[in-house]
Amino acid sequence: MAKPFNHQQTAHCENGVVSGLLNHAGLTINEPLCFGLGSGLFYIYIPFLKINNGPAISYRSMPHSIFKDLKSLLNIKFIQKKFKNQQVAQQELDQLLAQGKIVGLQVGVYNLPYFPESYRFHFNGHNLIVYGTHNGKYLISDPVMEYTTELSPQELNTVRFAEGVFAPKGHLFYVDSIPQDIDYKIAIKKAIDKNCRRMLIRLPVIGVNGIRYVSKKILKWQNTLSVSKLNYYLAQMIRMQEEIGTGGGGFRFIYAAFLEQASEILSYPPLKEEATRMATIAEKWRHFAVEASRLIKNRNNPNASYQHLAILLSEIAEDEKHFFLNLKNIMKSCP
Amino acid sequence: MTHHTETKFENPKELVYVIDESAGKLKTELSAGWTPKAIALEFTLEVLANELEEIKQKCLLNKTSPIVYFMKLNRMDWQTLAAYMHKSVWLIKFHNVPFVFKKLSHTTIQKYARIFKIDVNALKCFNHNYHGKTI
Repeated sequence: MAKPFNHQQTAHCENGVVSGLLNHAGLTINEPLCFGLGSGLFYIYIPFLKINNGPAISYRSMPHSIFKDLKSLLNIKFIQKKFKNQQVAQQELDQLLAQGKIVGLQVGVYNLPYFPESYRFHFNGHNLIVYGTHNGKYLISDPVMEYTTELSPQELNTVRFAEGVFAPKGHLFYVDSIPQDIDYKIAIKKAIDKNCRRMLIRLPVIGVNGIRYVSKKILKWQNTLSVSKLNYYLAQMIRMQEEIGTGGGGFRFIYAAFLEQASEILSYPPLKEEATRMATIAEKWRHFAVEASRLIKNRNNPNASYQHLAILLSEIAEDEKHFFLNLKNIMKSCP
Repeated sequence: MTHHTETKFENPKELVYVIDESAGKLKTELSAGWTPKAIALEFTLEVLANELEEIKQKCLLNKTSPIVYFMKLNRMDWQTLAAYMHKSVWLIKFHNVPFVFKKLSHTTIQKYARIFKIDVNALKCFNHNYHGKTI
């Protein structure tokens, strides 16, 4: 008899699926730990690329990089497969479920019937867990949903073979083996170090510099774009920041929770202070979203100024820079 | 564990991390939504709806083909549509030119119709009565 699966809701799909799969396999690991160990915190503005005719901004690393970083850091073996043929992909999934395994899938959001219409855009980096079948339907545990749901084979095939950027191509993954002893202390140190390096990288559009770049960009947009276009760009930024299960503010809060846990695991109190600082930065991100949404709401006001938004953003950039420099320093003296 | 058989949630509750003032720690909470986010989403949908209406008028004046209308209706961009068609972006844009569109083969139109989940006739005889549902 297979072990019953426990659905658990998380703020972000990738953390949720990875921690769900690992918890089921017997390794207790929660969302913040997944996110932190996967060095998930990031910021990137991709110039020249438009998503839904708006700027392409991401507040976390590439889809599936949390998963990749985590598994290589903790030396966990996952088996991953991609398919060309829908039938073969479905057969493989059926076989795995028949063996009592639970399987993580990468899917496209647009055709997921249980999502509200307003959230459904063509984004292919979503993840969910299939944990069984019932009356010819697949039992789905989508970590951003409060409840478990069901999908028919047809519906599941459609979302597994969504096309476009990051096309999932039926990508499935499941836990193969977990090492006996995991040294969280070393893993946490490595993960924090990696995250610091990523955020402080000396390139114009990535990490802390990326935030500063966008703050300057807002001022440029103010002069070059029409008000409606600029508002559309801002709306896109807020949506990227606070969309279901993702979000700049949201991710920063998760990272703060990770630092809290890290300080307990390493028994190193300075990290607890860093966690509080990160939470303050997260609050600032949320404040930025509030201000931006206010401008969108009062879009008919001719005297609207986008200057203070840019200032807010450059303040955040400065804060995050100091935060990560400080974090890097205190990790050096960590026992 | 609660299991819901109904397939649609109009307002799903999201899990968020918040600061627990009393304990000075972070905790998780279920949130029914947040105003700034709702404003941004509502505005985006409004822009998309306006854009769609403009394209519809263009289609009726034969300045563009219905392909772009249904593409926008399905919230796609050229890249996504091209990926679904397994064709290159410039070819899809070429198909969209009205006189090229009129000469497209039935099979190609069928392929478009299948991706847009509509009847072939909706593409072939596009008229102002068409009120498509987004999803």
